[in-house]
Amino acid sequence: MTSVKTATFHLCDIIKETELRNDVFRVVEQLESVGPSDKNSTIPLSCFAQRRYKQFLGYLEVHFLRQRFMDAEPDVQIEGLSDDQLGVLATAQTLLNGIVESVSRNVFRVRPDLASTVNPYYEADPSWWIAAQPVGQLLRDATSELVGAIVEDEPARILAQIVTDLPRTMFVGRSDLLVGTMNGLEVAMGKAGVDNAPIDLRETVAKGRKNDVEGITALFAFGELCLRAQIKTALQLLYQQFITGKLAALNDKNIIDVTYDGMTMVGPGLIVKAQASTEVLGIPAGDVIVVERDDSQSHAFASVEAFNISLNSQTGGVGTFNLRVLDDSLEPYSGLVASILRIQQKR
Amino acid sequence: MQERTVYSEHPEITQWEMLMQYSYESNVAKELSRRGRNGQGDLPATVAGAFSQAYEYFHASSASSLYTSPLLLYYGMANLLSGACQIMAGSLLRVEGHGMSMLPISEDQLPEHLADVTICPSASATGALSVFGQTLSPHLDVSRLGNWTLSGLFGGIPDLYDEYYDFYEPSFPSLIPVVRGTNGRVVVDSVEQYLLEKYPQLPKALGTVPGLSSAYLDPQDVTMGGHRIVLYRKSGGPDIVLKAVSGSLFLCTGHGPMHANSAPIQEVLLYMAFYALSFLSRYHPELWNPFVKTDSTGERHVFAKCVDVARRAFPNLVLNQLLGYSVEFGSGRERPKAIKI
Repeated sequence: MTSVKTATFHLCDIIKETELRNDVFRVVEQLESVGPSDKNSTIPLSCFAQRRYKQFLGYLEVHFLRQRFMDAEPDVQIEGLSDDQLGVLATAQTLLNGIVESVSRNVFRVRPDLASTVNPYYEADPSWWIAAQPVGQLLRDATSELVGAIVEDEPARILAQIVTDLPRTMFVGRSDLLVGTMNGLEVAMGKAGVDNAPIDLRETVAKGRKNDVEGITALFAFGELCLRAQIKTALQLLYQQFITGKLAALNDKNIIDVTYDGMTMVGPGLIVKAQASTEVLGIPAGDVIVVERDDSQSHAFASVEAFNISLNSQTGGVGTFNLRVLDDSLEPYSGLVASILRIQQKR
Repeated sequence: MQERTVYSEHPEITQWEMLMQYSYESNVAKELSRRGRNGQGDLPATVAGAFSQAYEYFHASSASSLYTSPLLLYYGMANLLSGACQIMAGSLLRVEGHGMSMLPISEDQLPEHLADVTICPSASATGALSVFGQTLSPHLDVSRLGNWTLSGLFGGIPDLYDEYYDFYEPSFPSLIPVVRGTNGRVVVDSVEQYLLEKYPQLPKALGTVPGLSSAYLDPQDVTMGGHRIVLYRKSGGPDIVLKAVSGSLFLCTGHGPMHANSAPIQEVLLYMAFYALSFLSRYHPELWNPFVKTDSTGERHVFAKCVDVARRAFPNLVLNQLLGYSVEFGSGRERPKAIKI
């Protein structure tokens, strides 16, 4: 069975050679390099676009909803996307969204009404990428390989089983609540940091042992959270391939110190202090990076949970990276996956 | 080198007390045995004699003026190196000649400074410089050392830094003082603003420091709250600074054309410097005596300070070589260590 990581990197290799990649690179460069307009009140679209885990959706969202912003602020004009830019971004977004939909169709076979809850692009309007063009066969095949790898992997299999065991009427019409619960859990885990877990996490996960509503909800929420996180990471890697073509690295050229290298209930984490440099400063939270260490640890892929920089006249610029270490599943919450698997096996 | 503190209120005395254990043949034999060497034959007596002579010469130099103290120190260094190197080698060492010579000093063209005289290391494998230098520093290739001026040697002695740079004002620094900060895990060495103002080419000089990129991340130019260059030691990176007896830290720039060669170890620099000083005092009394008696430029002060530095630092350096760790003398009382249970 191909691992999710292998399938993702294979798809990255295919993307690298496509015309779509060149087009996306060109369009994103256009959007990010737009300077102040002659009219002071016109703001580039890129200023509003959220990248973290939204990938191209960030640009599309602002484009289609910009009127709403401008209605609220009449003095402000937001530049829209040109037809060419819209077409390119829509095509790329369709590729990513297609992966999500194929996975969720498979996992939620018996409960298609809940499939959208695991989508990182929940509440996105599909009409935003209606301008998408078809992609080549090579890309379609590699995408299918990735979908297959995710579906065969533990987070999807765990969730599929949970979904199969759900009472038929449970969570009907409660998609918003489910997504809100997951988001709340994710925020709490983010606030606790990569070197800690929310105080009540163990207790909350343990509720999944019980076969009551509370227990099923807990198990389902955590199962969804883990699968969604895995998907988000894979999509972010693909997005990075489109817009930069390389992974930023923390290595002996910039690592000052590794102040944390351990495991919490959520999963393995690293806190790395690195010398501020152009490469390091440009890494946004949400990106996947490589951490190469000189000691016995082989290089690791990690998702940037949080980043901050300190500037000091004595010590210069130091960036602190809070990282979630990724396994071959590209799962940032591998500890949680192990916990819910244990619970599921005991039920 | 690991550091260990030895309690002493008179380091110059204590270091000789530690070295003079090797003036006893049985101690030398024990040391050779500890090193897995045969302590038989003439070796223990030869070594013991060398240490005894070294002590006498160093002791005599402290009671002598600048007229003769460099010569006494040079002989002291030669004996100390002879004794120590024969312990380290575990055998008698064949030494023929000083292993270096001086470029002739033209009467018609006297140097501007007395320290402009030039020392030429010899390629001879049995010269003292080569024998001792390679025993202490196995990678040293004396034939590739190149010629050195006495002032160039002064420039590489950390405890002479202030006197040397104030007087000679070289355009390119051989030593770059750094200020160290640490949180216990991370080491940061920084080059302070006054140096950057004094040496505009200092960033370029940093680039000639051998091993800089192995030891540190790329130098960070910090212009906030002043201007300094910040160097973060790489995790697991070697400590390449040179430490003065005073505790001040320095980076050594490269030597020679294009500053491409590493400077030799301090023991070799001092040995070469005192060869030159003893040569001047013995073979050029017409230059040396007036210089010692009536120098009004201030260069005499640098020479005198060099003698004081050598008397203190050289035996300590040799002791470090013998013991395998850096001995630091301090008068702080030993106190219980803080522990966590």
